[in-house]
Formats: sequence, structure tokens, C-alpha cells
Amino acid sequence: MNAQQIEHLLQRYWDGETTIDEERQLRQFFSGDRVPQHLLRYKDLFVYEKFMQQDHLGDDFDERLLKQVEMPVVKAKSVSIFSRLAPIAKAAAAVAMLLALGNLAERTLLQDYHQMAVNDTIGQQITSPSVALGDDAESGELQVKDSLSRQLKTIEQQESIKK
Amino acid sequence: MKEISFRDDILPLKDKLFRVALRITFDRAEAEDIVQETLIKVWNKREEWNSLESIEAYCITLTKNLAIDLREKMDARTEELTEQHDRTQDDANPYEELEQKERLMWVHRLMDELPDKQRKIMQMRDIEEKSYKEIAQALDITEEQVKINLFRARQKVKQGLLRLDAYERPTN
Repeated sequence: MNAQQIEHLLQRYWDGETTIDEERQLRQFFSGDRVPQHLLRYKDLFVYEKFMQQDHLGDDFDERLLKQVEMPVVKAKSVSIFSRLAPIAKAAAAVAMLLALGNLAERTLLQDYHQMAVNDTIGQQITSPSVALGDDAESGELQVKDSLSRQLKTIEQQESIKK
Repeated sequence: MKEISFRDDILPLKDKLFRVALRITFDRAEAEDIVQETLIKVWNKREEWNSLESIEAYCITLTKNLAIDLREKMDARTEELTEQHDRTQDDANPYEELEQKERLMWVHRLMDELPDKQRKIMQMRDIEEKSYKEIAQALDITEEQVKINLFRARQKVKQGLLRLDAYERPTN
């Protein structure tokens, strides 16, 4: 904005004819450092108006103040239910994970154990993988036992026939 | 009797107190320090809250007193600095800052000297950026009266600025 425009705006300001937006332009212009010498006498008013508009405290004021003021009761209030339960939830999650891991490890070990048992006793793979991978470990074990005793019987029979 | 809560009843006064301090010191950082000091002092007196007639009036008085004390200290320093300034030209910055504050105070005094209605209208328009309609409604007058009063207020402030300029010019 050039000096002539500002002078025109200024005249309308004194006469009470400017809009809110034009008044903002004036405050903006006079807060800058390119105010012509002959208009400097009016600068203070617009600087003052702008200064008075910033009449509230910064956002971080509360935080800084409350740090200096000991407020145990209010501090406790600010903790939400969620964050208060967080440690318990964490502990529960840890326990659940341990249980899950334990279960998985048990199944994996049992599976190896069954296959090993079968291989050691018989010397050959006799169980189908589906038996060892069965959901119910106990019924799997039973099936292994059954198939073992069946094999043993067959061997005994074969031996008695040979005799 | 209702229990007074620092967070709900006292802390929300901060912007009001800030404006009080700002109108005395004309320095944002100083005004902020004053509000902080006020609120800490009020907190330390929490045993007495219930015996006070109005906690708000108490806070405002405390802020005013702190701000006036500070300004008196600053005024004393200004004199010192002005004397120093005559001798050394190196450190011009604090001097300029103080001069800026003086200028804001001068304009504030000009506004303060306006008749009540004119001052209110000029404040609402030029600081709070309210429309003529809003001002008319708030003060229960016509928009035409708002315009006339605003015109008179601005003319008076303009005369004041010209007086200051005429006073300063010979010394420049």
C-alpha cells in the first residue's frame, strides 16, 4: 500500500467511515517499519490498538504455573480411568502371552515326544502326522498307545506263528 | 459454603488479571510474571480463601499492587538509564524499549481521558473489533449514536497525538 492510499484510509478512519477490515489494514501498516516520516505521529495509536488486542496469556501458562503449585488432589483427578488401569492391563496381557506361549511349547514338545517314542520303540514311522497334530493331545496319546499295542500284538502273533 | 477450587475458580481469572497488569506495565513478559506471582501468592494463602469476601477482588488488588510496584522500580531504572544514555550511546536497545512503553502509556492515558461512553465504544471497535450493530446492542443505544461517539473519540485521540508530536518536535 502506498502513502497516498494510507492517507486516504486514515482520513476515513478519523471520520468513522472505515470497515473493520480497513482498520486492520491500518494497524498492520503502522506496525511495520515502512511508515513515512509525516505519518509517524499516528503510529502509536495503531501500535497501541494492536498491542491491546493481544491481551491473553500463552497456552503453556497453566502448565508452568501448576508445576510451581503443589496440587496432589487435582493431579490425581487428571489421571483418566484408562491410564489408571493401564498397569493392570499390561500385567494381564503379559500373563496371557505367557500362557499362550506355554501352551504352544507344550504342544510342540509333545508332538516331538510322540514321534520320538514311536520311532524309538518300533524303529519305523508308524503314526500318520494327523494323529500327532490332533487338537486333543490326550486322544492323540491314546491313539498312539493303541497303535503301539496293535503293532506289538501283530509282532507277537507273527512270532508265535513262526514258532 | 461452596469450596473454592484453584483450578476452577482462581485459574480462570488469569486473562482478566493479565489485562489489569498489561494496562499498568505495557509489557507482555512483565505482565505475565505478575499474573504468575499473584496466583502463587493466592495459592499460598489457601487457608484464608473462605474468609475472603471476594476471591476475584482480592486477586485483582494483588495484581494491581504488584504491577504498580514493578512500574515504580522500572521508572527509577528509566531515570538511571536516561542518565547513562546521555553518556554512552552504545546500548540503545533498552532505552528504545522503554520509550516504546512510554508511548503506549501515553496513548492509554489519551483513551482514559475520553468520556466513558466514547472510551467504551472506541475500545469495542478498535481493540475488540466489534461491529456497530454489536456495540449498539451491548450499550443499548442506536447505531447512529455509536458512529457519532466513535467519531468524537477518534478526533480527540488524534488531537492528543498531534499535541504529543508538537511537544516532541522541538527536542528532536
